[in-house]
Amino acid sequence: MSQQVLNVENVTMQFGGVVAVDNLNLRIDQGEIVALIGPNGAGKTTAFNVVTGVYQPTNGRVSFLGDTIIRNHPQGKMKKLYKGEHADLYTARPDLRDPEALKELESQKDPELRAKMQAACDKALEERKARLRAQDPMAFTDKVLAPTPDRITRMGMARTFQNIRLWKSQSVFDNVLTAMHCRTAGGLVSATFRLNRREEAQQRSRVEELLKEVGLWDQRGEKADALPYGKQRRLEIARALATEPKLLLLDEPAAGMNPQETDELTAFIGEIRKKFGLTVFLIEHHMDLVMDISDRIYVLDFGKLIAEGTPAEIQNNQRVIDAYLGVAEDA
Amino acid sequence: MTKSRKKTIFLAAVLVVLLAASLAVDLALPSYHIAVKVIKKATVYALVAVSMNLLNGFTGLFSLGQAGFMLLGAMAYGVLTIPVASRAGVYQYFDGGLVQFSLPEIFSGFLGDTVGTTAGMLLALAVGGVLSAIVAWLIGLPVLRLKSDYLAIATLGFAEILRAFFQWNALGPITNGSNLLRGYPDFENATSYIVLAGLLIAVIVLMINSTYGRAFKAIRDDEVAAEAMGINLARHKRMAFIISSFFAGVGGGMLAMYNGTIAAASFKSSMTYEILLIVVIGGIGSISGSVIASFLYIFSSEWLLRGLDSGTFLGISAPGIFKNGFRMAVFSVIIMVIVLFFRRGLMGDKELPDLLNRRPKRSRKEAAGK
Amino acid sequence: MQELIPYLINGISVGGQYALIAIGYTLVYGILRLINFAHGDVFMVAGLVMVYSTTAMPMYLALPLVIAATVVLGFVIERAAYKPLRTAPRMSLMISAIGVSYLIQNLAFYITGGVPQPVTVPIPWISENIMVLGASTKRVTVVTPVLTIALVVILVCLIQKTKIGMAMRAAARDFETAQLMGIKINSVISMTFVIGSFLAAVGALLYFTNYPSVAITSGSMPGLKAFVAAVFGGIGSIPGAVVGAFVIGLCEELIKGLGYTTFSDAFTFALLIVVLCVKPTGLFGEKVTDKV
Repeated sequence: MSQQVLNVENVTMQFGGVVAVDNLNLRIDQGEIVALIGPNGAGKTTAFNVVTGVYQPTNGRVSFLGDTIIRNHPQGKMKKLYKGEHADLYTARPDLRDPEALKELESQKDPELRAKMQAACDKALEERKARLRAQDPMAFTDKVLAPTPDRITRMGMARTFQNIRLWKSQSVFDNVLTAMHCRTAGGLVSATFRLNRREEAQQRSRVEELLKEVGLWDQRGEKADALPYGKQRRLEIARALATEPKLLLLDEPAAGMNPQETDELTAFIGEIRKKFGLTVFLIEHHMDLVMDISDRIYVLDFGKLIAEGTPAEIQNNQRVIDAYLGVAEDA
Repeated sequence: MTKSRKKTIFLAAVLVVLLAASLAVDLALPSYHIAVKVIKKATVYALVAVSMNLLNGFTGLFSLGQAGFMLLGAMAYGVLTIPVASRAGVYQYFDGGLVQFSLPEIFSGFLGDTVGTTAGMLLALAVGGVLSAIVAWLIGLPVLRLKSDYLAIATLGFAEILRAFFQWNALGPITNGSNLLRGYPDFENATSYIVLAGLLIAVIVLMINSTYGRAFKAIRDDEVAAEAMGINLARHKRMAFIISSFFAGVGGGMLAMYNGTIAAASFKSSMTYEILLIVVIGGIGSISGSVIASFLYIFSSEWLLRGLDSGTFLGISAPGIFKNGFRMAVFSVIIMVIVLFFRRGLMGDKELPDLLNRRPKRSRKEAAGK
Repeated sequence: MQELIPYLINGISVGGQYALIAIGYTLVYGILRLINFAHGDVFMVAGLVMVYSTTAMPMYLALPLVIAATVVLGFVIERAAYKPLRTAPRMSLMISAIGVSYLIQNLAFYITGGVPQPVTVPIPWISENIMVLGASTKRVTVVTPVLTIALVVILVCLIQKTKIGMAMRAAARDFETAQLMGIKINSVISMTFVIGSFLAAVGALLYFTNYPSVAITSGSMPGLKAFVAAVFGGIGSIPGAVVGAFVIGLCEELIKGLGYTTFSDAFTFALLIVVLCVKPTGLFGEKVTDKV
């Protein structure tokens, strides 16, 4: 079995009373290209933002290359508000899973019997908790693990953005070079007085390599926002590659591209995966691209995972078709 | 890359010409001549403006605390360099003060008079810078988490607090309370100012062109993207803040040198505004712009437009109009015109050597069309 | 305790004057997201106009003139210095505000010659001395809080009940959408500046009655403090600005009363920084979330 790169377990992201991602579980193995698809507003980008540390999840665990990097469970204010999976385990409310048992418990007048029933309920709750604890010994600790996005990037995860976020006033070359900053060993003093000249030279030659790879070497001196749209997307990928990631997250890389550009991008993603030994996790709406390059696909709808499988399986999955096309009320 | 070589040569040539000019001025004119004074003051302002540009222009942190950090540097310089003999006179309300040593005197004890005094003065300036940097670190912990205008007003507030603190009479034995500090040594000639400030600005330029400078610019352009590319926002913002404050502190010390006296009350927010406006005139994000703007500003306000205040300007004598304050009024109108209609300032975000490149006029038009 | 009473009374009065300035800040910030650094100088100009007009003409002409001149100034500043920068980054707008402040101060310096202008003809009735709780003070000290509260009530009614008030609330909530809904954003913004300047003028009339003279820098400190008050109360909220202003006025005068005059200004800023770090939205501010 190949090595697990990303493992998302029971991740729920709730903003106030709105559950954007509900109990997401997914797994990506070394060298795979995995796509996350779903209708607009299904919570795909939110899931990305959780994995890359922009948001702190309300509940769940994310591990990267075998180490747990993000962990949280509902606490503080969220204890009352939490509406996601396993709510009964985390919330301050009484056991909601069995409303009849609860009713019976409340209607019971005899204190002795009532205490007994309460104890039985507590025991059941403890047993359920124990099961979760067996999966993750830290499931109920109050210690939140929520590194900032820059730390996650340095662990080896890099991303692009749905709405391109290049450093607009800088040249194509500098955009890529700046992204290598997080791998710079030299300190402020040595960098200022050019004591790390060798490192700088190495970085510059790597930028050259990368830009040639993505076909932007000829435009290296241009300002990033002067590039045509498709090339900006490529530059964003090149910039992400410059941080030396093991896992590359692409948020709608083909958005706004015409079919030909999309085809080129499909080939390009395949190439860089091979060349850099990458694992790729992407969000995309262009089904051609997704079906073409994905090894596996996860489908989100209203924050919930509704299907997973190979492209062929997904194409024939009735629930996915319903989610995309909608189901007639009276059907 | 011959282009970058060309730029280096060009820059070196400009620097040599500047240095030669200031040497010539020093040789030809007495040190009280207006030209010497203008060069000195402009150099100091250039350093401070560049330090502010580093923060506001390159890192995108809108800070208005510059006057406070300059005050720290000025105070440190004064306290550490007033000759022991004249302390009784300066600190007349505080029994000669608590500090009973003077760095230049200590150093001239074993380095000889000239070298020792200079070393002592430089050390005092450095102490001022380090002090500012430490205070910046402390202030930065809470303040740098704030966004744009809140950061501006908080740093402005800190500068005001510092000003009140240094005027506090309980600290009088060290700071002389609300009284003047005076009688400390100064560099006689303009060249020393140019060399010192020039070296410091060169360090800032080197840093801006290093990988850290690139990280600062990334934060300015897009914080979210910078963080996603592994740049630790808190660390780098703090770094920029501390570095900028260090140079502001040294600049404050030099300003104290130039002025000859230090009064905490004069380091007001209007001083910060003045420096900010110089940065804007030069172009936010251009070091050479800040330097050129400082020289232009000081040259015209101290020398060229002096007539506007004293009755006769360009041969026109009109004491009714050209009276005290007219110069600054004209000046602020010019500044407003720049702020409103030439928002990019003199240099935009270009540097002096970039002028060697042919101007890509077409792309500029395109950018305007977008 | 007895010796603190005059300071307490003074504190309430100064607080009322700050409140009148603070509303100008909070209204403008609410809509343009701009710290109008020039507002304190507008206040100073009102003081200067008062000095000049009261010596040159009878009181019943002078006072309306002060208010009219200040309102016109506020309006002109907005049209000349802020309107051209509507689409520019916020930093440019702030720089423009600083530039305007610099311009007004320098112009005032030119006109006054840099000499503080003495208030030679004080406004009658409110500048008469009276006894309050055993302390001697001018009548303005008592009038200020009452007048402030009255004006604030009228303003709140204006904003809650009238059409222009509704437009102002809409613009404060979402500038662009308000524009799309057909609200004439420029007239709303002008209205905001007019109201702010009007209140600043009233504040100046009250404030400078208590002072012997008006200097060109007289406006910057009260201006900054009023801004702090607005932040303290939660910027964008009118009751917040008023409460904040009274708190700051009281604290400041009490600190003076305790003998730490040097730190009365510093305290205000320390309070600002603490508020910003602990509860950046202030006492009554609404929470704003950034979207990634």
